[in-house]
Amino acid sequence: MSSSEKELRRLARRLLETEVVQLVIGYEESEVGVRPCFIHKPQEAERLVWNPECRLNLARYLRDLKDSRVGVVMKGCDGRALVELIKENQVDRRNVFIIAVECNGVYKPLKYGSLRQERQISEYCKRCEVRLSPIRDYVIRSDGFAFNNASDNDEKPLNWLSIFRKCLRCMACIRSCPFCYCTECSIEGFKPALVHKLVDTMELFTFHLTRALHIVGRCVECGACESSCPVEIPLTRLYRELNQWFKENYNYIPGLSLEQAPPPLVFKERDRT
Amino acid sequence: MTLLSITDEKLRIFVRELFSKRVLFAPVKRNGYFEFSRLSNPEDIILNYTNTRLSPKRLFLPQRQLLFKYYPKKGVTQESEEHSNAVLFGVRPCDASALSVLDSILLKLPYKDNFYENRRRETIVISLSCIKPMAECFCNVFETGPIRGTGEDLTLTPVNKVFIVEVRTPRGMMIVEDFGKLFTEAGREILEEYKILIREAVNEMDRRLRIDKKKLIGLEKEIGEEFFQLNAQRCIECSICSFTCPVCYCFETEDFLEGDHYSRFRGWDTCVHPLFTKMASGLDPRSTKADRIYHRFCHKLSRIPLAFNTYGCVGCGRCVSLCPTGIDIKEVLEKWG
Repeated sequence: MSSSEKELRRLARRLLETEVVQLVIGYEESEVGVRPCFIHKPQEAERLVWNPECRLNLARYLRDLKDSRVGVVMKGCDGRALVELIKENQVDRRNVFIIAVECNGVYKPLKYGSLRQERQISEYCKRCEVRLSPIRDYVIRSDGFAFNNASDNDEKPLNWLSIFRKCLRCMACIRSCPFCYCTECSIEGFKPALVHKLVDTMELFTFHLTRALHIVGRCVECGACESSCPVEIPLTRLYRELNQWFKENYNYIPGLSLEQAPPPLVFKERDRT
Repeated sequence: MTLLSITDEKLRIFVRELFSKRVLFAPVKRNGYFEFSRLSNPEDIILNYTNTRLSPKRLFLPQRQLLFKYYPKKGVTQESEEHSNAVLFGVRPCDASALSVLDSILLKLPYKDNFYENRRRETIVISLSCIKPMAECFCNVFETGPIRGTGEDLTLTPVNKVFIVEVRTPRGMMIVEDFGKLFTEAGREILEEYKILIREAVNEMDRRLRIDKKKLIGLEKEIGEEFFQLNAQRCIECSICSFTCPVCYCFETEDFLEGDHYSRFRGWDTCVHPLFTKMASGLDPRSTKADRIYHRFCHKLSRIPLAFNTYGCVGCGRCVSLCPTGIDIKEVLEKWG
């Protein structure tokens, strides 16, 4: 057990014992990997782990827990997502105790029937520059695993049409995303049915572009969608390209400060239409 | 039970012959994982694979399938079905067993699924035993592997550079007779090795998880159990578990207006989705996430066995491995098995 893990467990236990929070959300080990866990009792804090398999963005769960005080383990990107969610009034900052853990990148998941056998740092982590959550109540410095900073930016253009053909429409990208919280999703809605469920490739294209346009300027490139995807669609790559465009036009990088207002939420006369 | 053997080179010839006569579906490398695909070149076939990311269910129950077209003047026209004389080659025993599970559900009278039957009826299933099962697998629980499952016509097991061929059905016997020259009687030494291999593989699986599957019927009474509430906190309600499951067969239909006619499609649906049981009146008998997760497990492990005398899970481990939040059906098995 690494020292950061020990510190994490001790902190979670204290938080629950002193009733600062009612619940701690973190990661625990399962038989085949690491999964999110919800700790309600101090003695259960021993289940918490911290390692490069801690992939899923936990900010996603905070939207549904508006009324309880929650302690949550956050990587850099999770914290950025939380910043945006607070600005969009989805999460109350006063109810969240942020345990910011220094992140050195997470591994690509080794999924069922994969050709790859060895662990690799995820592509999106190689490009990440925010290793610690921008908002935090407690900081845990991490050790134990090394960050592979060799950023081999593979910029060859992708054939998105053929990539989207693989899509199963399992909606894991939507469900794992912290920003997809519409009660009636335009993609899943019936009236009007913008995108039909049983569709061909062109509608899959519409589906992914609709989603991309909805989260551009909000997406923090945490890679939750990409790592959840059962057919390995490199979604973060698409959103990053759109985010770059957004940055050039609106001079805004999502999730870095609570003060800077997100351009989609404010009106300025000189905005390009 | 007839045991034959075939050498590696002759198996290649066998595949090439099958390819020239029939539509051949076999595992290939694609998109960074293994996948069942209609072969365009018999040399692409991969036989030392782990398992395919997506289950072969897609070939028989496609994600999007045209059922019929309706013309206001002409009436209903039905589409003709492709690949009726297909061979599913190199499928793992668990996935082959899944087909026999689907058979007992979808081909049961009086509600027989004709679209499924058209694709399934003529298909020859040739399976390839698992010598090194993956960490997620638990096929021993439902006796669907690792060496032999149910639903195969021929079972191939790699033993020391040759393949032991077990003929499982009369149809399998016919194929062997068609290609009689390629198969030889298995020698005694090879058979000894084969027996050792079976024993080791079964022991290895039994060490991991061993339960009494008959007790799973009791899951029926466990609605509202804390276990499901805890897993529901985690679940993000994507459909990965059902879409990658080789057995899940729920579908929905949708009509489209296409020019001068309507087309009705059907495709996969999933019981973990919040809209699955929501009715037009607003009533939803499974309104919470915990109810839906419970239903998925209970249906597979208790209700299908009660209604169809077979289990709705074959232990392939896809849902365990692919679930983004690590919900694990093996925990249900351990707890109630």
